[in-house]
Amino acid sequence: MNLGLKLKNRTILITGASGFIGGRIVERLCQDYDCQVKALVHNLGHAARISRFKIELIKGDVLDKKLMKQITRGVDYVIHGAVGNTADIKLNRQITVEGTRNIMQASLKNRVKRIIYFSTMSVYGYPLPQRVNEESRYKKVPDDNYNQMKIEAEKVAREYKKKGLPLVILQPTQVYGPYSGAWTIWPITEIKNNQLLLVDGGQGLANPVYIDNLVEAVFLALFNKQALGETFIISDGQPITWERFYQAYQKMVTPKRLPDLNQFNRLRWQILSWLIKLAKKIGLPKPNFIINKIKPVYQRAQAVGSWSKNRQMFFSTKSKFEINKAKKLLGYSPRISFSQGMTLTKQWLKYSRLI
Amino acid sequence: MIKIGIIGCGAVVEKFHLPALRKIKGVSIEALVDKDIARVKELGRKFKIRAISDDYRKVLKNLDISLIALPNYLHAPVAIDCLKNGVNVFCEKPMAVNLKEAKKMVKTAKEKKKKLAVGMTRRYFKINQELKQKLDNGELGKIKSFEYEEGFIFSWPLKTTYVFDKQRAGGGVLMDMGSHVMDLIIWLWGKPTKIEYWDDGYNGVEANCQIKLRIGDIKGRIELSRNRTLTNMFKIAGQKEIIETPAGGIGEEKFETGIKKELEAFIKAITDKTDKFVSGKDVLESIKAIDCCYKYKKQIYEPWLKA
Repeated sequence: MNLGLKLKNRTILITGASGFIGGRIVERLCQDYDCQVKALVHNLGHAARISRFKIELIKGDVLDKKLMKQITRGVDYVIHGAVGNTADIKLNRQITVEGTRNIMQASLKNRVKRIIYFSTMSVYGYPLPQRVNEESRYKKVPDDNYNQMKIEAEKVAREYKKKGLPLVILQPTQVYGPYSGAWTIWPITEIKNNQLLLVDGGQGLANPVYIDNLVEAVFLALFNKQALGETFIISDGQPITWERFYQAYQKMVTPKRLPDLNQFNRLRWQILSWLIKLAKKIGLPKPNFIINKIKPVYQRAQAVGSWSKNRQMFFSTKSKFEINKAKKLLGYSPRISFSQGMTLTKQWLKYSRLI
Repeated sequence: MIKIGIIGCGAVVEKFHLPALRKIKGVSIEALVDKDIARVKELGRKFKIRAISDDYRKVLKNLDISLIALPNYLHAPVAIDCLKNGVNVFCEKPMAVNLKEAKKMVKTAKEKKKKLAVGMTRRYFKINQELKQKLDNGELGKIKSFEYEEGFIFSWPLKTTYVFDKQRAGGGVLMDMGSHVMDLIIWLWGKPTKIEYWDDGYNGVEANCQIKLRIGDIKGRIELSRNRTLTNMFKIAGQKEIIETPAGGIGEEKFETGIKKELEAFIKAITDKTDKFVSGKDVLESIKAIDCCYKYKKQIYEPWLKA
């Protein structure tokens, strides 16, 4: 398939375009193809990355139905990546679920040729079976807002598939790489704050996918005839232990090994973190050298104390997410290995002054 | 009473210029202009200003000063029009998107015997003024080198997307933040004798740039960013002493204070018929330097960007 030819002079709308995944899609489309990119961005402050390219930047909200109708007019393809990412849980649900409805409705009305919807591995919830594929059951996890709202949003997407919208659903696993909040910036920040911990010796399985591998899958999904109406799990296809995944980041910051959650007495650290919080509240201790001395202890105490059951379960699960369907139907073959991906990620982290 | 009209009513005017102007004695805001009439009405109500318009030409004859806070590409044409109509101009930075337009503005001001000021707010911050004093007094000895880094995740208040549009903004972080930085450097030491420049723009506006320059014997390095947090320090190495100050020089001051000081200075210059303000002519060298950067640009190497 000649992607260049297929994309030539086409118009593509990307929602959530200033986000990590949307941003990379914009970069790749603008760098490698001769197409028109419309980028819907909610917070203009984050548009600096994609504005380096010639795009049509649109400031707006997926909850704005009128705007959705307007911006899908004359568009060939839509890639829907917008998700609620605010401090307000209710609003997040609205953006994620109703926002999806709005963009689907507008795309249906304006007869776009295809729409790619970003679902997530999170819809399968946890605990998980040994092997997870597109046939596995979805599970709502109590207290996991992301999991819940993404299940609901995918349901909305499927409703529109029934109404005739040419849809492909992608379910990426842990997407890491330049600009990844959850799987690159977060671990590095946690490591620097003494807060990243392994669970069960880090022997649970991570199912990482390097951002560029995912973007390849998006491009395949845009044009592949057999993909129409289908759902695909997208990962690198190479599960690795969480120890290996996080140790790759740890190495960039310090030669020390990552500590394990189990080696700490949870209760003792929890009490310590309360005590420090209390001391801070009543204004003790004041001298800076004491604060600096207890800072690492406090950070560690916070980390140990704040590990939730959900998180513990997530990191101890040993499940393999299978990509056989994507390989077979989409012709997906992840090109960038974990070590290549990490090399690029490290270069970016350095440039971004995060390590 | 000096009569001022504001042309262009974006977020920055609402947040800084209008509040600052209201605190200055001897000036009255005679007009608010924006092509988005709903926006002018909103601001008119908020700041209790009756005279509003969507066409600056209609209000010029009543004005002593027009404050231009339009998208960058409109600075030159509108400023020139105002000057030709006998109105002094206070123009937001960057004064123009290229040297050719900037020169035309300065020439028009001279011909019409009107004053043209540029909003180089940072020259009015205390930290920068003290720094200038220190350097002029030779307190650091002969200057050998400097390093200037300024970068945050972009958070400037925006009403529209224009700062990210190459056509309307004229450039990215260099045009925007860089017009301040280049002005500061040239104000301190004079014009660059050699410039090398890299940025990360690809047909759009750059989010990051790196400049290596020489001013006589002084070696300098500047790095600016809209999406990375840099050291945000200005290090100057002199033979006697090495100092570090916060980049931008805002320190403890409020941004609005700087805006107030620069507007006060210009209003006073008009009342007293002096030239104690940052004029169009004063910033020509910095615009020339920015022109030069863009002209000889090299691409920042980002290996993760290639497919």
